[in-house]
Amino acid sequence: MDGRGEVSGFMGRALSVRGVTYDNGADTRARVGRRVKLRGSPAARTMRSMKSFFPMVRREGVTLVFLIAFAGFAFIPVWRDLEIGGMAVFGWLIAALMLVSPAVTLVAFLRRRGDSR
Amino acid sequence: MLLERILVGVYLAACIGIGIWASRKVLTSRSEYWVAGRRIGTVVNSMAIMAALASGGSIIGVMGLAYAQGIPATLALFGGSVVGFSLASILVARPLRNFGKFTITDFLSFRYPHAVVRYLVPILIVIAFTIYIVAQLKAAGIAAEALLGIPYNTALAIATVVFIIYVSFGGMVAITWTDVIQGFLMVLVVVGTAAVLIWRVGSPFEIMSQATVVAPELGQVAHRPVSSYLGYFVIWATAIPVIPHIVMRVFTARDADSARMSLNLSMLVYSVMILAAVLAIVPVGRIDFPALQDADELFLRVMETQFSPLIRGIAVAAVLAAVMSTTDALLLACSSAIAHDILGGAMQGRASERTLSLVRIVTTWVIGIAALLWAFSPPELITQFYTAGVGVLSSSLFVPTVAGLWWQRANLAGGVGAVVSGAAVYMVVQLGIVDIGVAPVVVALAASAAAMVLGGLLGPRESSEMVDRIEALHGQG
Repeated sequence: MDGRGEVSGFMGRALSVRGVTYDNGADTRARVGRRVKLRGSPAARTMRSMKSFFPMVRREGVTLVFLIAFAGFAFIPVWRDLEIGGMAVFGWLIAALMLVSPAVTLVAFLRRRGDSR
Repeated sequence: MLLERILVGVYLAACIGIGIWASRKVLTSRSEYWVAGRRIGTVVNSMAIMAALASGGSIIGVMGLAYAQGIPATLALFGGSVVGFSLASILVARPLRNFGKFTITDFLSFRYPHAVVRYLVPILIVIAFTIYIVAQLKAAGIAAEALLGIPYNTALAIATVVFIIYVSFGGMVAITWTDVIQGFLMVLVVVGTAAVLIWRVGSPFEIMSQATVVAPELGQVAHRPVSSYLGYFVIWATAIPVIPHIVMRVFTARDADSARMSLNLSMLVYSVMILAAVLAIVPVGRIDFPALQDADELFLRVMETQFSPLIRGIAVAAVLAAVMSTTDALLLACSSAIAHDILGGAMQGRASERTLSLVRIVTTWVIGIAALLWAFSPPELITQFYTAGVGVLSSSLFVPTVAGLWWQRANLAGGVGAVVSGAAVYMVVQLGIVDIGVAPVVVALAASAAAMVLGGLLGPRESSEMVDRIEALHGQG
């Protein structure tokens, strides 16, 4: 019964209860020692009442939070006035975000796919 | 200009040829027509997604906007698109592909079964996308006028008729394969042009340094209110996961993994292309052409002065490709909003497949011709123009779609409230009826989210069957 934190609720809330990991599909089969069907069981009803969101893989939740935080950081007003190489730091940060965003999303996706195989 | 005209003529003939070839497959099947039988592979789909998003705005418009309003503000707009791809990949691609229908309206009206959603959503799509199509047509017209010497209106009419033909008869199959060709062509031209300019000067930083000495405002953003470029960013970040012509591409993928991989690859290519355009071509153009009347002409002027007729001919074809690859996808999405979402539901079971096929073709022609007539008197700064149109869709569809897929408390009251309040607040603020000093899309998304939360918490819970069905969508596709 190995949850290992791989399956989590939306925004990082774990779905492990008393050592049993509940998941909603086949994606996490490789990491989950024992899968328990959610639908219909008393445990499932308990789980449903505990959470409002459908579960998200932790790595993807972290990626999402990271990208939103990066974007928020780039929009801090102080970066409008500072310049590097003739361009506002804000511009360089957004340019970096345009490369970082696809890269981290692709890595998160490939690792999730690797886990599920 | 004979060589350029021949190259463009060959390109247009190839598009029509693909449309005719595809028509043999698609005219007898709804699934083939709208989503290419759901068997498009990852690489093909990723290039088609990139081409569908990378419009005339992404070649002509991005450079015009950077020239007129500076590079940082422009990057905010296109950076929003790139982050939007990440949101689409993580939040919507898997469950929507597993849902397995044809349009975003199909999902929303399944999740929130109410006439307001069934009819308001396609109407908003038609309004926003008609604006979007007009902006694309302007890009095609000015490109052909500047580099081929063909009058604006004539060029517009030729390009429009060509893509109406292959969209109306070839459906998603024709769009996919023309988009693949168009995608490769525009990446080749934009990245190739940037590479040549960088090679001539030394490095992109050298280009930027030289340009910002001549025109410091190119690299500045401090003189602009944060709300303006924050608005650009948010509109596109929230539009990509729900915008119909991208969502339809998710439905064409073989499976959920392929859909996600396609989105990931397409955003990588898109990022490289936009950064090449903005950080290399725009600074060179700003030095060479300090006082352009119409900023949208920048790319074409650079091509005219820096390259030979053969390269210029390929560049015009690339601009037309950019315009057509987006416009065809927009036209199909617009057509699906009327022929599938509105008329299809009403005619279900009462009309033959032949009649439905005729409705699809006629709808495509009507929308295309209407956009053409409007494009004869186009607005200025096309990127801003269509971004405002897309804002309506972001504001009204993002919250109900994402909440509908991820929040178990999302219900009918919340969904209908989120769609209506998002659209209404955006229009009120965008049109200046109420001015509160914040980007319209930010206010509208907040209103939409508030309506969803209030509806979800105060309204009746959804049935356990609905929750189970949504939960199943998150499984392996």
